[in-house]
Amino acid sequence: MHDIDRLVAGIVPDPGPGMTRGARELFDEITAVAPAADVSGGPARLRWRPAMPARRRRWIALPVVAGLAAVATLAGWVLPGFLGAAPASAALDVMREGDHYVITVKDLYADPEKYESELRALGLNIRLSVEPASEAGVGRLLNVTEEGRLRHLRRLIAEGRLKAGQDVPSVEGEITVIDSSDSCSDQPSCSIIGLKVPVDYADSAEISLGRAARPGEEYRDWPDLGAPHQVFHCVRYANKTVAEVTATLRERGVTPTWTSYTEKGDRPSVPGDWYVYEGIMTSATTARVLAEPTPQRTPRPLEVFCPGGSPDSPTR
Amino acid sequence: MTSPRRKEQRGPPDPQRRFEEIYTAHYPGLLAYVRRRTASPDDAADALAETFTTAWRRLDDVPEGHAARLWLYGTARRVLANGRRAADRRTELAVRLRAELAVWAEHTGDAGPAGHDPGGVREAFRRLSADDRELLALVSWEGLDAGEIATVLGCSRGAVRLRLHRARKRLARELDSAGLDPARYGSRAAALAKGEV
Repeated sequence: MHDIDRLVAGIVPDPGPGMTRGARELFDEITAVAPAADVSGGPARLRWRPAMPARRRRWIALPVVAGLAAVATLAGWVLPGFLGAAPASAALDVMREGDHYVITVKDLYADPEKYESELRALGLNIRLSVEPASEAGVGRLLNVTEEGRLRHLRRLIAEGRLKAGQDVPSVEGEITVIDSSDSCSDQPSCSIIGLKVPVDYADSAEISLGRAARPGEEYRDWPDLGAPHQVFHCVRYANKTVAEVTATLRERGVTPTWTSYTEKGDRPSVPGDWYVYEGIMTSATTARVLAEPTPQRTPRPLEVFCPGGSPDSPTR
Repeated sequence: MTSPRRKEQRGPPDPQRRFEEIYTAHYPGLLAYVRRRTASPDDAADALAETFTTAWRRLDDVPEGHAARLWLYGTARRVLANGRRAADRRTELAVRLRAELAVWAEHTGDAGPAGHDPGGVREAFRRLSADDRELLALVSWEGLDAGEIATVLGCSRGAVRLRLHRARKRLARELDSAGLDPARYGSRAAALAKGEV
């Protein structure tokens, strides 16, 4: 590398947070409009119109708020007597508790269309999928996309009540996982996989729930290497060398692949003296790690995944 | 970071799948690109939204493979140039992204000019023309070679080489005139500053 180029490389501004929830939302927002909608050739004007939803959502790794189209043709009200009369072959088990349906997934591997039709029979416009997840993602909502919430945010922006740079207000979702407030919060994972949905839920939603990944299955929640239950939980791994991180991962039976900001794809190895920036577990035995020749100036604070925890003491 | 992708494609890709692959592969790089060339998180979010919206609308124009990245850089470059003329244009997209980038910028403290500046290089770099900065950045920050830069900028490879040489020379001289010893950065930097090459 030319001396001057090396100098310039030394002052490279931080690349930003990478693929985030907001990035996934942006994807959904963009693709909610049919492609080639604008052929005027003029300056891009962002317009919205309802679009048919994709049959199967792509981003399922993290909760997102956007993108589901308004095709809320709600089915009629559930017929009395339906509850409890579901056929033995049903993929979902539905009970009513007060003003909520408690919907347990009986068949974790059913076709999503089967879930959808059973939910439609309840008058719910919800598309549900059950996806392989890491330990922490089992029984959790991996993805919730609600059209009503997106409309709400757009309204806030239009009315000037939500401005650029402000935090998006967090609203308690109407759909929750079963026992989200009880056993799940203290447990490594929820043993029951299912949803609680208000019986009068009128929004249209797309939801992914996590189930335990089978051997070799790719996670859909991609936990950070420092997330709870993962190899570097409560350990500062950013700016460790590639060699150090590789050794630790291999000790735990994890095979890393590598990438860098200038990389055209993944590669099986990078120089051992490079610095690790961050990484994700892509399955129980594989990880994808970002490394660069220069140290990360602004590593993610340890507290993000280890609130108040003691640093540098591995959890397992 | 490049995100995982499924390899279960059958038949020709549908537009959303193709766009998803482009987005997944190139979002982090494009985020870095626009962040390095914008002053505010809002500008970065706008540029990302507009660039990817353009890619979605003109999906057939986006080349396959690695060339898609260069196409996105070129598009983002034009978006940023337009954005600077109409800084008040804001999209309604990317609400959460805007917030995330603002928080990130606050956390990293990289929004202001008072960042860490080893050896005064940043200040010398800032004094270069925008064109010089862009060339040097495409090499050193995005890791592109002359041919790739030619694609992004829409000019010939020979022109890129020549302009790059001049840009390096001007930076070496800026360092020299700021009282920084280019020799400290290597013999080639010193030679450039002295006009020997």
